[in-house]
Amino acid sequence: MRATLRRPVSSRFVRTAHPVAELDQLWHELDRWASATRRAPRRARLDHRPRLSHDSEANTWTLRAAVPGVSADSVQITVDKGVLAITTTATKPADEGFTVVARERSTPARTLRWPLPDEADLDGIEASVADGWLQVTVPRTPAPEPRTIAVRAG
Amino acid sequence: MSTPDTQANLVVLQPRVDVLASETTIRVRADLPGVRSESLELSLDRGRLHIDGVAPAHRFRRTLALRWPIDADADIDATLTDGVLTVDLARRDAPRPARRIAVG
Repeated sequence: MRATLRRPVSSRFVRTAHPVAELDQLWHELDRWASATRRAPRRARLDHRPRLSHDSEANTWTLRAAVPGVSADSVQITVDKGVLAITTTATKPADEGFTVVARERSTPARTLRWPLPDEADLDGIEASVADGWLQVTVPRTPAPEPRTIAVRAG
Repeated sequence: MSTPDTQANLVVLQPRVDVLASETTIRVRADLPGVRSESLELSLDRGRLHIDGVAPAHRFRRTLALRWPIDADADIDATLTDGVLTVDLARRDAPRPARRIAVG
């Protein structure tokens, strides 16, 4: 039971900002990242798959993911050769003297790799974790103005 | 945050839970990402624990029928950290500490 991924609606996003092949790879990554936490739900449960959206007004990409149990100091974000890597480790609480009666939650260490588009402003990337939600914002640099290059007679 | 009007339209989701038991305590842990303590309601009614929490984009609701007798009068310890709720409930069938009897 493989749920379909929700793709960004903006056609501009798909066509110009991010080549389709690259985008497909990202969706594949997102899907793989979340499969560790996915189970067959009896009733609707929260989809833990990260969502990518593009805010055309602020000109930013935003990645949001539910990461219950993950605090700000247990998230590591690196950018290397244009690939943004997010690694989370959830704190495993000590339950001494307790036996597990029912377990539905899973808090694996997870890694997501996101090959950033060329227009991503690497210096402006911001990330936050609050109440079990991770949010990574990547600003998009404005496309350079088309230039005409003068040709000298040689 | 959300007004009651918008809350009614939120998608209701079932939070994932773990249930743990010790000799004296039943511990319920639930994933409630996006929920803050001020928008979380917990209640215990005849051995049923109700969880109702509102997150910015959805609502978590679940009732757990606990199969152990719970001491409803004892203190209930509930904490919400990083979107994870932990509730400790006292068992009514907990073994009582042995009583020393002084011999006169």
